[in-house]
Amino acid sequence: MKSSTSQNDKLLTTLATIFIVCLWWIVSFFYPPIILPSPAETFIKAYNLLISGSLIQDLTVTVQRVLIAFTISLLGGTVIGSLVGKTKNIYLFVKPMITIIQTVPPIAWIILAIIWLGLGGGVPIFVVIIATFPIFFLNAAQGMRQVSEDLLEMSTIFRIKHHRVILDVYFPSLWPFISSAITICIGVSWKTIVMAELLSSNSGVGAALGLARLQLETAEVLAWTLTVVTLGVTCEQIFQYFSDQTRVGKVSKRWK
Amino acid sequence: MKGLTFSHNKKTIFKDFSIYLPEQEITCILGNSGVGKTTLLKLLANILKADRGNIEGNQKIVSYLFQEPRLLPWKTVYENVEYVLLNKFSKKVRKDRVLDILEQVGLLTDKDAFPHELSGGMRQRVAIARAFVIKPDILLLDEPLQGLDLVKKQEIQQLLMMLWEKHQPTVVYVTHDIEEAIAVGHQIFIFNGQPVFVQFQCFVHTPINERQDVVHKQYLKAVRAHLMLQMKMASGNIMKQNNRNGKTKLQIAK
Repeated sequence: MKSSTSQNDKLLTTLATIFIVCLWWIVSFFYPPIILPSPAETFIKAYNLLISGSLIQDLTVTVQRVLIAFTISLLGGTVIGSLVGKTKNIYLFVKPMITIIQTVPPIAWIILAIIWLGLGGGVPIFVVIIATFPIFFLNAAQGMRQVSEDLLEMSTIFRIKHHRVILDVYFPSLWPFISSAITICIGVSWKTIVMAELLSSNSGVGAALGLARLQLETAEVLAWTLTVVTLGVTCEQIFQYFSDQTRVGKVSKRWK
Repeated sequence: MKGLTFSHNKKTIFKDFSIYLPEQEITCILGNSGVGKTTLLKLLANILKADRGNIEGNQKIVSYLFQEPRLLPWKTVYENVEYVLLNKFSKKVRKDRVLDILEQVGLLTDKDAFPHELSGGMRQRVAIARAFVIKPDILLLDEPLQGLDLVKKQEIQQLLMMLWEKHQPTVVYVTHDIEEAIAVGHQIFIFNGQPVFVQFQCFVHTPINERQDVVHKQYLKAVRAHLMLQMKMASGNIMKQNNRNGKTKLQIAK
């Protein structure tokens, strides 16, 4: 029963993807390639980029930046978020600051970062950290408030060691919150890094996109876009898969 | 436990309060809800700190059985029981102890199940296994039969008594059910008032495993009737106190 539903889901997803490509293909007939190149042209362009090595080269730079920024945000946001979330008053004090960071549009952060850090690799990393940190922070803090008092009390009575409580009570309780934050942040960081690179850097996918735009290589622009989308979706899927494999992921699905 | 004072939210719950809990016996505490029974258990378990006074035997191994099982949902039955032994014993000792206690509560076949896969009674069994696996000197029971149906209640009670006879911890059994208290208590207290005083104290000398026998029926019936009367007086007392807006403190001699 369950497997047939998931198979049905997969089928629909595939159908939707095919539908979009078809639609794109049909529409591209009505416009010149400079406005909308056909899927075939785009795929060929992407293939050429892959052969020439520039795809891998720029992608490596971007992926590296994303990884650095993502790791910093994940660790910093989660740890600080859980520490702050533990005490209600500190949480209420810190929350407005985080909200401000979150409400300032990314483009403003990019400009500020260019002024502060100058052009180069620092800006994209900084902006991605700024964009993802609040998500990790707020989720972790929220999760911290949901940790069961009953289980903590039980652990105190049975004199469980602190690191065990963190490992066996706090972490599993927080995991659903952290994992949903990770899913959101994978998407956010891909989008943000490309924008930041376009405006501030001469390497990475964003910079390549900017160059393609200047040369009016619409097919190349789409090829890059497609690559970023594919990578983003793949990362999310891979993470989702592993998250579902974990003990908490499995159990929490059957709770309800 | 001597001269204990404990306040919470400016309300004094215990003031210069002393009771004696005999070792390796079962003390039942009856009383209306909100009188401070659970607070007493928490003081004994060291999660609440007394303002004044001392509790002897605090250093001993204390175990607690809650109204709800309080199991970790992401751990199996085996791991839930093992949880309280982690970092205290070697892996082999843990395994032996956990399997042994799971056999005693009859859950050996379900040791790899998760709590959500078990029934309410089975979950409470896991909690009992967890409470006994650390070989406690003191076992605190906070209405452990709450929310179970009659058959399950009886099963769990028998299981508790079986385990108690084997390990003989000092037990403090909090309940509001007179039947439960008569079935298992060596000593029965009725708590009342604010700050708490012992309204009534009695000893039941009939050995616990003979309490179902016909010979003792009349005696236990009398105890029951008396406890009933005292409980009624306890609720009456609170009503009177409320009527007088707490101006006077009504004391019934213990």
